[in-house]
Amino acid sequence: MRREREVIFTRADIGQILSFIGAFGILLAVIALLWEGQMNVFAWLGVGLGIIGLGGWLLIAPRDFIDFFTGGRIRQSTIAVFSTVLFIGIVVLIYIYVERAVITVDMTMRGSYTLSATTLRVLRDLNRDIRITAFYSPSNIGLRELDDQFFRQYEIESGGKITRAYIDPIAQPGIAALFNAEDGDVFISYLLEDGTVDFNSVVYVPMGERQERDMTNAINRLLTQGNYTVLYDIGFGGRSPNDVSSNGMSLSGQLLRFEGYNIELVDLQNDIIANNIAIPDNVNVIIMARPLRRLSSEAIALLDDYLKRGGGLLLLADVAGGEERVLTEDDPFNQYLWNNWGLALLDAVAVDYAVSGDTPLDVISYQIFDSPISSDIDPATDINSRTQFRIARPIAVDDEPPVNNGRVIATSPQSYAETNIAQVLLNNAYQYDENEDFQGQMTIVAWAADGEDGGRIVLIGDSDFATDGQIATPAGNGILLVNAVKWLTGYQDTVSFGFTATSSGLPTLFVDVNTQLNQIALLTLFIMPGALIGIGGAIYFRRSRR
Amino acid sequence: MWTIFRREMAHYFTTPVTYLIAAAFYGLMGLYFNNDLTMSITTRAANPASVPLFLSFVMVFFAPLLTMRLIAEENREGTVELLLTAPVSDMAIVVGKFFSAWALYSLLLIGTLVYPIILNSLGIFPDLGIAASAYIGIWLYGGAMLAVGVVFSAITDSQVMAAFLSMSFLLLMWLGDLAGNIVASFELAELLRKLSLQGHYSTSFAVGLFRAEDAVYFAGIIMIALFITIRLLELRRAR
Repeated sequence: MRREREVIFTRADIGQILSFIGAFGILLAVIALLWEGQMNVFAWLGVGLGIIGLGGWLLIAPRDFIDFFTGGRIRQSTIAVFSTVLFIGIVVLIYIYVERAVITVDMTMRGSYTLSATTLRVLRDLNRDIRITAFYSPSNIGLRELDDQFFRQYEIESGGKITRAYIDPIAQPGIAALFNAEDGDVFISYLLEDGTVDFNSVVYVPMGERQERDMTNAINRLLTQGNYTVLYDIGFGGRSPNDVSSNGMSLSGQLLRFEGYNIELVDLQNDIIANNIAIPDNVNVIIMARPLRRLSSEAIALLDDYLKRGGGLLLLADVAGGEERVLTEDDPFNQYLWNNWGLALLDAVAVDYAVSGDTPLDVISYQIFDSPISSDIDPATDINSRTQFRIARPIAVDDEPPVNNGRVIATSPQSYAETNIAQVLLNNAYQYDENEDFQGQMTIVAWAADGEDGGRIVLIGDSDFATDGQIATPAGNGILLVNAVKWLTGYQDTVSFGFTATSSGLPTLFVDVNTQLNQIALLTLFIMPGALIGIGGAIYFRRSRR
Repeated sequence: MWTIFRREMAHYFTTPVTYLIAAAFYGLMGLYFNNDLTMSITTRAANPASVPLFLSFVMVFFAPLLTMRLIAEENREGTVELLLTAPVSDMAIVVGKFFSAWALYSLLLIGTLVYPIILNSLGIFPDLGIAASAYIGIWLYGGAMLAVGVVFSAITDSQVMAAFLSMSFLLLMWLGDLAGNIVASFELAELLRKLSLQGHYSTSFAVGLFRAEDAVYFAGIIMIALFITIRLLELRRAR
């Protein structure tokens, strides 16, 4: 009879098998976690196996277990591999735990990753559920990670009123088509009661460098959607949002519509005055761009009534008029503005030799005053945010006004007011005349407000900046128009991103650019590496002499 | 460990090659900085993280140069046997050598602080917080790369081979960030990005955001790499 060979398992052998089971379990749990992003059946199974395996190993062969972690007696390569795998598993588990904890510190001085008080106020007042729907393909995974850090804050700070949804436009082209979305696009919208997106409320979020501003402004647009009405007067005003030529204002209309405003056209003289009716209460802002004829006394009375009821007026006045010169010193409307609002247009053209565009007649925002209207216009940090006006009229601002008023944008102190307008308009010529002209900083944009609930006026000594040909170049022109309308509606009082710190002029970095750059290049490209080569050479020669 | 550390540091500072590497390092960094400075005057605002971001790529090639010698040279010259019989633990040998490379890298990094100082003195420095975050991140990032270099130095007797292998491996880890461009699955792309070095730097430290998970990632890479190196030395000792 053949005797069977005995198979002997030592405690160490059993411990080794259990350790492999434990390591397999941990790896399984880690992979399942990474794959699904949350605990699932496989992850729990792995955790169970890990506990059983490692626990069993500790109970059966405690000496081996301790030796493994102290590292003193590892003699076999299999154990080395196993221990490495186990160690990696432990590190990965710690990583996943920390990742879940979401521990972040915003180290930027501007608090770029911390929501501002303005945003928090907007989020606190939300009364409907909002969904952020963002489209990222796998190739845009980095952008998604960056954006998600913001969106997550909105979700947390809104107490769950805002939720996030990420969609791969390549994998789900149908959903992308519903939003008319491309890779990297972000939208916000209200949610219906069943939790689906209300497609009537979808607002596009232009994601630039200032992510918080972009997102909060988009939320504002969603909240204000259809709540504010802007009237373009085409009776006195010579520019229309229906005009798609470079002198028209179709882009300004589109821009305001994009911001959520209802845009309508009106002929104040024929539609309102002729019918002896008042401007409707639901009109929040009237834009009068480039008046071509003087306002009648009825029209002035109509606007006065409207402004006293809390309306807003955006007046863009050019030097050139129609058949008659408008808003001159003797124009009743200009006198009304001065007497009631402490603002008046001067009969001159601003000429700036120091800071201007192609010619000194293209004046650029040099001095930007602290105001919601100048928010985001900061050429010192973003050169494109400057504003540029063509043949602009200076504005007189009464320092002892009947209502609150102030300056928004002014030219440099090296500018002067050319009073010979005919010469400028006919020959494009200008020459400072100390007897006629006056020198110094010229205000081009100003505001006035009659208390908290009274009317508001923004007066701009140019209308060219808002035409289709110039509203986007530079970008600050469009920003100025939108900011002015926002402020006139009064809504920006609650959602403004705060005042831009007063900044003077464009960034003047160097006294002598080339000299400073050469000095820096000398230090960083030659002296620093050269000194190290010198030391290395000295050591080489010293050693070679020995 | 301290003895090993001092020995390695002394070796670094008395070897001309170290100074040549450092000179090349600063030459490259200086070139990039000057180009970036010129751009910041004409086209865009200065980014305080631009030099550390560039360094995150450059270190793919410099880290192996700093670590290739550490153990490979000991292997080639046979001095590793002496080292292993010396009254120091394997851990002390590995950690001491790694810390010496990291210390040298830290010194090189400190030297690059001259760039933000220059920017600051010119008054065009937008955010010192971003610079601080970028530098903390790149210090940890460099540590992780050096630790990987130490592993490959322990694998082979040839310094050139050690440098080549670690460069290849580090380049793969660097490129993992771009996996989304070739992988159709979002989940897989996300996993590869989580494994990559850039995925834990470019969208966090480099933009002024400190995330604990990224610090744990770099610390984890360092610990895992050193653990593997210790195991390799132990296997050598066992043979």
